[in-house]
Formats: sequence, C-alpha cells, structure tokens
Amino acid sequence: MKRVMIAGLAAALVLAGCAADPPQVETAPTAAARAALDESMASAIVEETFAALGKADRAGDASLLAPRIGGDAALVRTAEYKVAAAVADEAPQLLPSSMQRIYVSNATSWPRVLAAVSAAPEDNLTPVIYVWVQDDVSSPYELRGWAHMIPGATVPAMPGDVDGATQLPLGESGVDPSPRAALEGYIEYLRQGPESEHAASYEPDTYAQQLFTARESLSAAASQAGGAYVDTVQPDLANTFVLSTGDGGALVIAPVLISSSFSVSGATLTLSAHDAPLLDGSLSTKVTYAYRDLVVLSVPAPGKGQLPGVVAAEHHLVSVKPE
Amino acid sequence: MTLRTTAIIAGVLGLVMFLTGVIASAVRDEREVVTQQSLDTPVVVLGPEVLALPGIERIAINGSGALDANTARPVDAEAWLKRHSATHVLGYVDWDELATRTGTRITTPSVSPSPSPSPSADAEAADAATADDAAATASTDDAASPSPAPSAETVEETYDYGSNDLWRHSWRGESRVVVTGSTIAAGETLVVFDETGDNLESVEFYAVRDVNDEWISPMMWVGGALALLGVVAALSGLIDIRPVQARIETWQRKRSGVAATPPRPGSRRERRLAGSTLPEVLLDDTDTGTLPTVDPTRPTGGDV
Repeated sequence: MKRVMIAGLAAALVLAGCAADPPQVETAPTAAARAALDESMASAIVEETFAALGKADRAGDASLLAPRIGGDAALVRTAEYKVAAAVADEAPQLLPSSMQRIYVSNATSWPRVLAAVSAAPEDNLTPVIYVWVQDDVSSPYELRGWAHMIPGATVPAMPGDVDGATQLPLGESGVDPSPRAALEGYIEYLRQGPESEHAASYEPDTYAQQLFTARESLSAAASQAGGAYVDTVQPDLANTFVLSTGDGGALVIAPVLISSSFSVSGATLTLSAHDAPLLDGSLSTKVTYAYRDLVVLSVPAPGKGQLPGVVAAEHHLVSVKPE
Repeated sequence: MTLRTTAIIAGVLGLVMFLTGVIASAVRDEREVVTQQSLDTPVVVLGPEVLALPGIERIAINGSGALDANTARPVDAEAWLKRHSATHVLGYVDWDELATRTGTRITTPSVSPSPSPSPSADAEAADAATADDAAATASTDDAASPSPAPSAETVEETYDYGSNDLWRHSWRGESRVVVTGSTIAAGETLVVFDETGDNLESVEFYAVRDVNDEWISPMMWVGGALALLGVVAALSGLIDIRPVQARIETWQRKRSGVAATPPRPGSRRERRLAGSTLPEVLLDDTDTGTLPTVDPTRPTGGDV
C-alpha cells in the first residue's frame, strides 16, 4: 500500500511537470513590405518637411529649414528669402504640399531616395517633383530639390510603396542608354545648344529651350557691350540618383550646376531688383550667376522605341558673384 | 476473491488516483508564463525570428527613464545597431531564462562638451541652444562617460540615437514599455532603447504555453468514484446486516406466495417443481398412417 502511494505521488509530480518545452527559434519570416519606407512613414516625412518649410517661410529664416530641408533646396530657399526680404513683391516660391504620388526606394544601403509628385498647384503651373535624400542610417530624409514638371511630360509608372523602386547605379546596363550616358549626353546637349548632335537623342523640352533662348539673347547683349556670355554646365554625379520605373526603365534625378558669366567692356553692369539681393560683393565688369538646377530625366525601358526625355526641370538662381 | 474484496482494492487504487490528481493539480505549471532576463545595455533587440515564436503575447522592457520601442526592417536595424551597444535576445533557454548576446560598440559622443557654460551670443552657443530638443546635449551611454557640459538650466539629457526615419512603428513608455506581439508586423525587428542612454533593466516575455493537464480532472473524478466504492465495500464488512437480510428474505417469500410446506405427492405443484411440463408423446414405429395424438386432458402447466 505504501509503495503504491509513493509510486502514485511520484507519477503525479512527473506528469504535472509536463508543460511543453519553450518554442525554439526557426527561420525568420519574410517581411511583406520591401520598401524602405511605408506609406505612413513617407507621409510623415513630407508633412514634417512642409511644416518646417512653412515655419521658415513665415520667419524668412533659412536656419529653420534644418533638418528636413538641406542641400540645394536649402541654398535655393535661402536665396529666395534674401530676395523676398529686399523686394516687396518677391515672395518665396509657393510649393504645393499635397502629393498625388510618393515614390519610395527599396534600397538596403545608403544614401536612399524618396521622391514625390505634388498635386497640380492652383496657379496654373505644372505639378512639382520633390526629391528627398537620406545620407546614412542616422540622418533624416532631407529635401534636396524640387522642379516643376515640363508641360506635357508624364512621370513613368513607378513601383508601389510595398515593393519600392530599386535604386539603380548610374552605369546600369539594363536600360539603353545607361543613366549615366543619358545624363551626360543631355548635359552635353545643354552645353552645345540646339545645334548639338545630341539634340536628336532626347525628346524636346521647354527647360532646354528656355536655357538656349536666354543664352542667345544674353550673348547678343554681351557682344554689343564688347563682352561675352558663357554658360558652364556641370552634372553633380555624386548627388545623382536613379530609380527603376515600373516597366523596366529608369528615372534619373540629377542636380545640375550652371554658372552663367556675363562680361562687358567699357560699360557698366546693373542688376535687376530681383538679382541685386543675391550679389555677393561689388559689381564690376563681369558677373557670374550660379544656378542649382534639378533635372529629372526619364530613360524608357528597352524595346519601347522612345527617346529619353526630361519630365521635370527648374532653373534655380542661388547667388550672383562679381569678378 | 469476493466482490467486497475487489471493491476495496479498487477503492484503494481510486484513492491513489484521486490524491495523484490533487497533487498534480496543485503543482502543475501555469499556462501563462513570464520569462524575465536582466539587461545591462541601453538597447535591446529582438529579431523577427524571435518575435515569431508562438505563444508570445506581450513583451515588456523595464528601465529607469523614458523608453522608446520601435520596429524596423531587419537590414535597417542592423545598420542602426552598428553604432550602439545592444543586447540581442536570441530566444528561450527554458521557461525561466532567455538566451541573449551582447554586442558592444564603441561610439563617440554625438556632441562634445561645450567649453562655454554661458549661452553667449556666439555662433557655437547659439547652435547648441537651438538644437536643444534635437539631442544636442547628448551624453555617452554609461556612467563611464565624461560629464556633460555644465549648463545654466537643468535639462534632462537625451542620447543621440539619430533619425527616426527608419522606424516603422513606435511605442513609448516611462520606465516600462509594453508591446503586444500581434501589433508587430511579421519580418520586422523590434529595437528598444533608453532615451537617456542609460542601461535597461530587464526584458520580459509574456507567453501562453501548452500544459499537459487534461488528464488531471478525469483522474480525480474516476479515482474519487472508485474510492467511494471502496469505502462502501469496507463499511459493509464492518456492519452485521444478517438480521436485515433475513427480514428481506422473509418478506420476499411472502411476496412470492411460496408455501413453506412441501408439495403433496402427485399434485400439479409437485409436477411443476419437478420440471415435467412437456406432454408425453407415444410413437408407434409400425403405424405410419396416423399422427401422434395428444391427450388434451393432460395438464400443461398453470397455477396450482
């Protein structure tokens, strides 16, 4: 009897300890979203950017732009604040804050790009393409530039915010021409003018046409004054980014540095009321306008039979330097 | 072995079963289990494979200050963790212990101590003042770090963990932050840190586990029934019920109407008791043309 009782109690103690073993770690599940930012994160970045922009605009203080606005965008806005402070009717450019499309990257390294297309502004202008860049994991996404769309241009279909767009290298060989070749060809076209052999390689765009028109008239004016007008166009390849489009093409987002020097001989230069606040020094016989432009170039997918073309571009004056 | 003895043995076994069930019920494991692990880094990380462990309902992290819990893509979390000392929770060792690994990083303070204690009008001081809430007054992560810059105002120091742009979902708590497992998307990593850079205190896993206790209740009921039967049998051996049995038998005889005297010889009662109730059939082997006859006057049974 005693043995039976002991055996029963022992069995009870053993059986009572029969909780299942803790679960063991297995293969990690794969995340459904591949994009670096989900919709709410991207929207939050856009909202914070325009909140900072609004605050800085109201104060006319460029120091309030950080940390959400930097790079060329901060330079351009700083110049606009200078002009606005000096000229009564020259308010900073009104930038629409509501977006119709946001394009996120699925990059796993840095820098990363976020792009957005605004809703159509109310001032009969075309929508604006904005570009944010995150330099490293610790840095916030920073608005680096914006450009109005070229009239009639269409942004190619882009991957959604679940998969995200792949950031392509400049030398990507999956598109023809490569993003680098397309950009360098377009820069060469801007340098050489409408007679360039590269002109036929791109869809016509109003950005290049306006640049050429201004160059022609300013060259003529400089010649009449015994001087010269020279445009220097340089791509900023270090800050150029390429996103894959939905159909296998590429969207090249390229800052472009343009210096336009105007010189006269035996004459006096005067600046317009708009440009005068940006003058850094005393005016002499030569002056150089520095522009930080943004060009968004679409390279179609192979086999489409289309030419690369500019979908958005804007000429941003940031400083005027006498020489 | 009599029926009573068998019942008593069954009762003993039932008693043992009942006591076994009672003891098992008393010492069985709880379904809800909390596993706690102490921490000694300012950051704790739980990868997607750990968050996918079945049964985990909540994860709580305890610390001394404001705590931030965030989820991120694993690749983003790994990149972020290169700059921070962190405890990686790897899973369960057992229900009382979690497996961890500590990754130590040597990081430089994000802001060097300002040599000027006064908020003067020079550019450097102005920058520090405007960047106050952007973690400009960060310190390093532990007590070994140099003292922060003297300040005219007492401001709670925050550690510079960088941008929040990689965090997909965030939770915040004071001294304790609790994250429900179902709110974390599959495939994401959970990163929790103390905003001041102090070490966290502990991480707790609240889980529901499978406990093999379905047998306890049936065993107690069956054991109890058998024990009761054994008790009845044992008690029946101790009480003299023969007088009661005699009275019951007498009563039964009276109910059945059976006479106490033996039947009269040759009577129908005698024949019925002898079992001779079938008619006697005489067969004639030579006469095949006639059927056997039955004497209808012969009794076939009935009441006496």
